[in-house]
Amino acid sequence: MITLKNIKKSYFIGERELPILKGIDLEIGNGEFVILMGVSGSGKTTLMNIIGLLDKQTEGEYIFMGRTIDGLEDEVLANLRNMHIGFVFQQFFLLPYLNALENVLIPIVYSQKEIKHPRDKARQLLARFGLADRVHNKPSQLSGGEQQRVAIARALINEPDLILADEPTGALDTKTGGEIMELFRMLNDEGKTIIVVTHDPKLASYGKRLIRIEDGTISQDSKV
Amino acid sequence: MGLFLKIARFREFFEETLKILYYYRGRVIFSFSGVALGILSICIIITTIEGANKKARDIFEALGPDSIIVFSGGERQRAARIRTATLTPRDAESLQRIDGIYDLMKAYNVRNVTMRYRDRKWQSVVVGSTPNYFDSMAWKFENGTPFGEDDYNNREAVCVLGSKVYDELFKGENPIGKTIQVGRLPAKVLGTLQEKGGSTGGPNIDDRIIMPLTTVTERLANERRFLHMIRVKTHRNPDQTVEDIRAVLRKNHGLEGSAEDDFTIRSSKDIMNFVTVISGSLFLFLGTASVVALVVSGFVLANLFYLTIKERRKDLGIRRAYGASRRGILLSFLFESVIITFMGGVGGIILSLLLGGTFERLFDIPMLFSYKVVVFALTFSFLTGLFSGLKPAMQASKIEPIEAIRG
Repeated sequence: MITLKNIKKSYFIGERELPILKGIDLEIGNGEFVILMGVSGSGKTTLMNIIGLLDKQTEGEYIFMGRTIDGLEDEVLANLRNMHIGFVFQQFFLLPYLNALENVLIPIVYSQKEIKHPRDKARQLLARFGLADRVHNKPSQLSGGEQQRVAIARALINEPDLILADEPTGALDTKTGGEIMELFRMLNDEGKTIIVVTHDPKLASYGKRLIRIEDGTISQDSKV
Repeated sequence: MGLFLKIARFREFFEETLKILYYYRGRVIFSFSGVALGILSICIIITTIEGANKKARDIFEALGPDSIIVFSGGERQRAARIRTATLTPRDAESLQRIDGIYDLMKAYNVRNVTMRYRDRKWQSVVVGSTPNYFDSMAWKFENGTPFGEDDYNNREAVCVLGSKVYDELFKGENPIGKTIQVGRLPAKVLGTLQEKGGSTGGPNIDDRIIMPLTTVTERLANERRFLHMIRVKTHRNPDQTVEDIRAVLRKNHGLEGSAEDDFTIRSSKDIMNFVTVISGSLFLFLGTASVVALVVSGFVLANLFYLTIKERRKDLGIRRAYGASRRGILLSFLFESVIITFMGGVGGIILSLLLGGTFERLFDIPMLFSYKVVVFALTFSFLTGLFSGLKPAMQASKIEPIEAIRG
């Protein structure tokens, strides 16, 4: 599903080059559950952004779903994200003016897929995550754990192949964070490919594969 | 339809947009009001111009394109509303002899005459005229008949009532054959006229009674020397006839060289021109006002949008991450601003419908509401939304998703 060949990424501050990723080689297949671990500033978020088609590498080759991602137009990248990737963020990023159900439906607006009865589907997802009675609540009326579950439902509504989660438990207490990770494990058992980016070593045990990023390179890649 | 490919589900998109507008309703209301006021004045311009044009056409049709009216008193006196009688029966005879003139109606008015029927009193104008008055004015009868040549020649005390006078004196009673007191003269009512109404400025045209000119000059006013108005119709070119009339009257009145006319000539064309000038100045005044209002509200809208973009960076980031392209973002922002101005447009149209009547009464301007108004107003509001939304939308579409999402 994902092939990275010698991926490099640098930011330029004036004339000065600031290398973030220094040559990443990585292959992630269908159905994997990867924990991408690293301290703040290690380059893990940049790597996730490149994998998630939100950022472009400065060097190297990226093949996603059999397609070389290089010099593709904004329109095409947006379509690829829409069809194949579901994002989950640390701060949930639910839209304050929409209720839970409507937040789940956001990707549908831009969907290129034929999702039948999206409303029913959104309701089912929320019910499955224990939010049946929270469907019409605004984000401000939900707890952190509930908000993150809404966000995960949103990531799933468009039936993506890959779930990319950036510090999904970072804003939650340990117990709630654990529940969210259990949820990812459940989704993985159903066949979804999942990548969780985190700095928290406690999450390592939830995945099936642990990749450690240090100073822009992969320092560890092992089965859990 | 290429543009809409990025927004695959219109229903969800539309509902989201409405929710956004509701969430930012404070700002929306500002922009909405501005646009509504701008559109309101555009509606008023268009309805007024349409109304004025229709009125011009009506007058033109009623007068006939071949009509020429001559009033007593020069332009200046008329402008100052000084009523002097300078036309004479001899002038009328002279005009009758001008080549091409085939119909001549003359009138002498007596103002502030008290009329009585039983215990009811009403003060109004008595118009003394020739039997062709009613045809010439294209005035139809509600009831009864006009006076004829015999009544005219015999100075009969007969009269025809304008609808206002009829209402005041008879209040629905049948007036035909009844006798009313006109000043000191008892006069038999022959007929009543249909209401004309809708006069632009000046006194109510229905507030008058019409009697034979001979009766008025000899039995009511005792004034046989002058006339207030002569109206003729001509087979020939009206412009040429106007010149002939001027020459004849100046000769009759002994006006030579640079002496000003002591009469005023109006052709149907003059009336048309007058209405055109009025609607032109209205257009200029209201047009400027409405363009200013629209531009200002456009700027307000654009600035409020800039503010929201800052607040909505995360929102934009999420949408981009979930598959919105730059174009999709551009489109959704444009859609938002167009919806606001479109609602403003509809609001303006509704306002103009509500206020139109008041405006019409207040300034005595006829208005005509038609589909053109709706088309114009909606087009203008649409364009306002498009132009004011364009720059903020472009800026919003340029935000990179990772920048927006970053902590």
